[in-house]
Amino acid sequence: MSVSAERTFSTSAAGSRLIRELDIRLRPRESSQELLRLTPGLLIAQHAGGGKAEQIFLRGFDADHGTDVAISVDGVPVNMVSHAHGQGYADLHWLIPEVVDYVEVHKGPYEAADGDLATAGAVALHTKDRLSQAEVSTRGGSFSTVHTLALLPLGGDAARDGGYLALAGHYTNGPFDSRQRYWLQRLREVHRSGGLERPIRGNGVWLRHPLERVGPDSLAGGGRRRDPALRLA
Amino acid sequence: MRDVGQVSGGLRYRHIASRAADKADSIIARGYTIVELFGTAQISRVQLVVTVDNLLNVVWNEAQFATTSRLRNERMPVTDLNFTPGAPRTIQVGLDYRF
Repeated sequence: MSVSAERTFSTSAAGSRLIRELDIRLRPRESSQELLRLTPGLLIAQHAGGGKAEQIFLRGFDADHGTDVAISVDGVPVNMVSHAHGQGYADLHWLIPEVVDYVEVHKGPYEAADGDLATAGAVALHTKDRLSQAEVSTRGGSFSTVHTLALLPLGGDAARDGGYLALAGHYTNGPFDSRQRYWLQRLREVHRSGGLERPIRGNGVWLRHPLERVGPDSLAGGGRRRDPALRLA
Repeated sequence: MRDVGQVSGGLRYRHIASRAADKADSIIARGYTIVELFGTAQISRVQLVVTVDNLLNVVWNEAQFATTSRLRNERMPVTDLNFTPGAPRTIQVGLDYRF
């Protein structure tokens, strides 16, 4: 006798959720870490001006640098199991946020497939296999922030065959008295090879690492803002 | 989130309550509520995007830890809340062109 049923998306007792491109597009663009914020009940905190994996708050866990949250991109684990900052350190800054197609979230440790680090939950990012259109984009504003992006389909019929090149540049001085001069350039190439079922991905080629400078958190009392009235003793 | 023809926009908030920063619950990490506003307008192949993070310009602590410091003016080590201040109101404007 065989019994079969359609598998529903939510297989865990805790909340599962799928975040689609529309939600992603309407966010201010900083880094892929910001995409994590789209998860209801998940908050992040940066304390090195952008050069370090964020602290993640989820289900009452204070997951310093993403420990306790299993993060993956296209199935590749992002957590570093023996990092000096924390076992499970998860830094997504290398990923261009605009190439993310959807985000899958499992809250809780209930999915065996999420592995050992999914104590608080798991976030699986999935990137686009193909682009329907090319895009160039620029954004900017407060604190000398500039974010530029180019998404270019490659090959003859990229919409069908897949393959694209993504280029991003990001620069910001940050809101602090001392200019942070944080900048980041990213290149990502995804291409589909004939005869193979799965696309071959060149993942996150770094043109330059983000500089982890002496951040504002090195000042006890929490660093300083531009407005002296906001300083806290 | 509302979608009115070629214009869309919305408000979001993120909130975390105040909580213990150390095991003894003697130092409190401050909670916050941050409101974020965003809007887009589609004009042919160009999309105009405006986002305002921390719309109400609240003073908030982003990362915060109970840590012992010893600054120049601290003759003895001081164990207290050390934190990175969160960004004040942050406005971004952008253009996306698809072709």
